[in-house]
Amino acid sequence: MKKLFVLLAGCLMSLAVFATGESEGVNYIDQTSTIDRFRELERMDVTSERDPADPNEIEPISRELDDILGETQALEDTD
Amino acid sequence: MSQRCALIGVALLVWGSAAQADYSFDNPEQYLADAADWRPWSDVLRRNALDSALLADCVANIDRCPKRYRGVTHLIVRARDLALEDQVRLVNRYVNKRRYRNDRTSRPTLMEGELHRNQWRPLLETLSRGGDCEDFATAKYFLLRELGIPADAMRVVVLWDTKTRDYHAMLAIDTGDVAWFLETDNTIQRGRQLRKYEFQYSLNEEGIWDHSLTLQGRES
Repeated sequence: MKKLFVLLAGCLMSLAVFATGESEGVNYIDQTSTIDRFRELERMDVTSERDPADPNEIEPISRELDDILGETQALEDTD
Repeated sequence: MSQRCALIGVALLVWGSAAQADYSFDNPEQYLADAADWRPWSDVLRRNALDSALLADCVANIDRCPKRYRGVTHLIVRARDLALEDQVRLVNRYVNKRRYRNDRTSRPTLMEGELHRNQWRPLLETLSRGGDCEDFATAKYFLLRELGIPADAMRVVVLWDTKTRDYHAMLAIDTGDVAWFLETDNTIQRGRQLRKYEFQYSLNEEGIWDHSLTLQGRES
């Protein structure tokens, strides 16, 4: 039983280390320039493919919303 | 035996603490900069202000509105009094009907001596030409702003998809409970559905948030 408590205490210390790591991480932003970070963000090529969804995952919309979409489409089709 | 159980428990606890948390709008420690500080983003905000002024004129007098904008104007007028959740569902469906154009093959653009790979687009440009995930997310943001949703309730979020190993973008909505993520396939992702993603950074008119500090072993 004692060993179990020791292990749990160790676990809590590990979590504390995690928390400390995160708070130290904030300094990372302070230490590196924001402009350098912007350059890193810019290198991310945000271009994913669009795959069709599982129809079961698409939530149905109300009749009112469907009507608005239809009216809008009708106006765009006349353009 | 009890030692083994304890070790497994510790491992599970540590693993759980390291797992990607739900997206939070309350993360001041991840604030990176003002929206005006990043040129590609501030530039699209400035360009979209012109679109917003044009749409305001269209709403005021739809008969004097250019024909190609009457559809979106009609949607704005009809949707302004809807409940937030219906506005979000409507805008998600409407923007997702645009032509999906993957811009991976497009060349980076030169802006003030820097090469910029993702060219953010204002609302009316995406509605007329289509675009890909970040264009759809941005168009939903701008259109929901036209419907009166405040800037601080939304963020365009760039994510790393750990399954397809691609960067992706979705619009996140703060509903007061879990954040809603508007996907390009008409689904709205929440909670567990987002586990395959690692949040990278977020944008709105007020700021830029950097989520990289919470990444777990991403290979860029």
